[in-house]
Amino acid sequence: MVLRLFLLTTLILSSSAFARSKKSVRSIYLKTAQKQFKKRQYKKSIKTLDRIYDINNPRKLPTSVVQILAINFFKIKRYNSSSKYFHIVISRRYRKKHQQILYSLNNGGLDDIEAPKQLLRIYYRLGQIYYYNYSKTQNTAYFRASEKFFKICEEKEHLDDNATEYLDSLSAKRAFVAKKEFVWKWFASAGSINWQEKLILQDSTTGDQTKLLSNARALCIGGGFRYTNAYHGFEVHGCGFSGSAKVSASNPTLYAQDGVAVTGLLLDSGYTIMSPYEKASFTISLPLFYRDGDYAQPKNYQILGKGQLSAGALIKGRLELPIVDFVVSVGNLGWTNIFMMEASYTF
Amino acid sequence: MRFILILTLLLPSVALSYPNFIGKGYQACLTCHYNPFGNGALNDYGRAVSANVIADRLFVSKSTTDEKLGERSGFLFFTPKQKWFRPSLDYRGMQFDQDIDQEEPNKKFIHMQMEASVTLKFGEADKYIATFTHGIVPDNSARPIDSTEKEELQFSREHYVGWRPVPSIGIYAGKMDKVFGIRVPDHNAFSKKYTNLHQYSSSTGVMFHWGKEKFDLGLQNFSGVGHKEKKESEQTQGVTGKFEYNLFGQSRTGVSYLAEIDVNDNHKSMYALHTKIGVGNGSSLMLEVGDVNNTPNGGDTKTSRYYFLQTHVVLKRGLYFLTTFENYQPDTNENLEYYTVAPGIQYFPWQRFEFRAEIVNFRTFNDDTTTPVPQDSWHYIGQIHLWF
Repeated sequence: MVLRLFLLTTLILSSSAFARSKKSVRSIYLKTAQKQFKKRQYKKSIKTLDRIYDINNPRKLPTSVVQILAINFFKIKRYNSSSKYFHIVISRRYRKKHQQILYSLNNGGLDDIEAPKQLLRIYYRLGQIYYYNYSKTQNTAYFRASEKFFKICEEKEHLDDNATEYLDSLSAKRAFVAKKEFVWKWFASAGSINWQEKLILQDSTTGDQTKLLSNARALCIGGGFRYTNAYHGFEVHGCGFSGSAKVSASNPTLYAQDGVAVTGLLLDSGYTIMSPYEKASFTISLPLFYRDGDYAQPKNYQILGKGQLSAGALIKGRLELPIVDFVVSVGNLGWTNIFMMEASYTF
Repeated sequence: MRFILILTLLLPSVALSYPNFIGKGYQACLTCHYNPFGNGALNDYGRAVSANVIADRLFVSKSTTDEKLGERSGFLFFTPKQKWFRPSLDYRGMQFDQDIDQEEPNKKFIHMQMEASVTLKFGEADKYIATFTHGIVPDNSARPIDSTEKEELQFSREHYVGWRPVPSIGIYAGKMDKVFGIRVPDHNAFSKKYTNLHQYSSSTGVMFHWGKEKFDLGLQNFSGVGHKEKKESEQTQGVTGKFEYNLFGQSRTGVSYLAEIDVNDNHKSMYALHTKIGVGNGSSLMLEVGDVNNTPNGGDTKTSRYYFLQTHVVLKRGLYFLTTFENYQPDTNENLEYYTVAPGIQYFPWQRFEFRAEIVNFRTFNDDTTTPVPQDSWHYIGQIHLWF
C-alpha cells in the first residue's frame, strides 16, 4: 500500500513537472520565434513554432502563436494561410467588436464606435491580403473584402492615407477588370439599305446577252448580338429587307423597269474594335447578301441573276447615342456595293 | 458632262473648321476660332488644343509633355512673344483619282488652298480683332465653278474686324463666310455646293453673334457683288441667320435660314435643320437637312433638297474613321437623286498636319424609265493639310 502511494505520488509529481517543463519549453520556442520574426527570419520563425506546435491544427494553438504565424505567413506572401490565422485571432479576441464594426460600417459609418488598435492593424493586413488576391484572381469577393477592410482603416484613421491609396488602386483595378470583361449585348436594328447590281437579259432563242443595271433601296429590319469588352470583340448581325429597284439596259428602250419588288437577307459577322474614347466602335465583317427581284421577263427573254447571293467585306461605324446606336455600313461584295444606315437598340 | 458633274460634286476644297470636334466637348466655335461660327484662323487656345488634344503624338518623344506641345503651337513652332499679332499659313493639296474602278483612272493633283492670314487682337479676351486672309489659287488648282480662267487667282478670302463689347456678344464687319448650317470642312459637300456656301462664297457684310454656354445665335447681312473670285450668279446680297441650342449632352441642334438675290434678280431662299452630336470622347455624328428654293427672275420656284450626314469614330488619338452619306435631289417634284457614300480615314499625326483619304461612291437614283441606270462610279480622294 505504501509502495502504491509512493508510486502514485511520484507519477503525479513527475507529470506535473513534465507539464511545467513542456510549458516552459514552448515559451522558449515562442520567444525564439518572435525573435526570428523581428530579425525578419519569417520562415525560420514558422519552423520554430512548427517544432513544438501542430500549426496545421490552429484550433489547438494559443492565440499568441496564431498571431505570430499570421504575420509570418503574411510576410512570406502565403496570403491564404495568413488570412486564416488572422481570422482566428479576430474570432478569439475581437469577435464582438468585429461584428459591431461590420454592422456599423454597413449602417452609416464608424464614427460612434471604437476600434482597438490591434484589430485595425489586422484589418489593414487583411485589406492588403485581399487586395493581392483580387489582383491575382480578379475575383469580386476579394475586391469587396479588401474594400471593406480598407474603408474601416480609412474611417478610423489607421494608416488612412495608405488605405485611401489602396482604395483608389482597387477602383482602378476594378475598372480595368470591367473593361476586360466580355459582355453579350443583343440588339434590334432598323434602317435603310441600298445597292447596285448587275443582271443579264438573255435572248432565249439566240442566247445573246445584254447587261442590265439595277439600283435598289429597301428597308432592312433585324438584329443581332455583340460579344465585346472595352477593347474588342465580335458582332453578328442579320436583317431582312423589302424594297424596290429600278433596272435598265444601257439603252432603256431595250429594257427598263421601275418599282421592281426586291426582298432579301443580309447576314454578317465580324471583328469589332472598340474606340478607346468610348461609345463608338469600328467593325470589319464578312457579309452574306441574298436578294431576289421580281423583274419582268419580256417574251422570249429571260433575266439571269434575279436571285443572287454575294459575299465580300463590310465595314461599319457604330455610335452609341443616348437612346439608340447609329450604325453606318459600307460594303463591297464583288460587283455589288451596299450602303446602310441603321438605328440599333441594345437591350 | 458626267465628268464635270461628278467633279463638281466631289471636289473637296478648303478645310478650316472641324465641327466634329464637338466630340471632344467643343460645342462653340468661338472656343478655337476668332470667327464665332468657325472657319478661318485659329486662336491661341485653338492652336494649343490642336497640338495637345486633337493631334496624335507620332514621333514626339515621351519626355515632351502635352503642355509643352501646346506652348509650341504658335506660328512656325514658336511661343508668341507678344499678344497682339498672330500670323498663320495654310496649305491644302488633294490627289483626286477619278473612276478608280476603270482601267485608266483620271488622276490629278490639285492645290486647293494656299493662304496667308494675319490676325491682330487687342484688349482683354480678344475684345477687338482684325483678320486678313489672302488666298492664292494656282492655275492648276480648283477653280471657281464654271471658270475657264487658267491664270493664277489671288483674292482676299476674308478681311473683317470684330468687337466683343461683352464676352457673349460680338459684332463683326467685313468679308466673312456666311452664317448657315454646319460649317463642315468639305466645302464641296452637297450642303455647301448647292447652298452657295463653298470656298468662294465669303461676302462682305455685318454679322451679329450672341453666344452663351447653351446656345449660339448669328445674324448677318452680306453682299458679294463685285468679288472677282465669284461667278456672276454667285455675286449675291441678302441676309442669313442661324440658331443652335444644346438640347442634351454634347450636342448642338439648330436651324438656319438664308435669303439672297443675285445681280440678275434671281432669288434664292433656303433653310436647314442641323444637329451635331458628340459621342464618347471624340466621336461624333453630324446631320444637316435642307431645302433650297431657287426662283429665277420671272420664273417659277424650284426646290431642291439635300442631306449631309457624317460620322467620325475615333480609333486612337488623332485618328478617325469617317463616313459621309450625302443625298441631293435637284427638284423635289422629280425623282432624280444623287447619292454619295464616302468611307475614309482622317489622321492628325501631329499638330500642323492632317491627312485624309476617302473612297467615294457616286450613285444616281432615277425612276424615269426613259433614262438608263448609270453605273456607280468610284473615286479616291487623298488630302494633306499643313498649317503653320
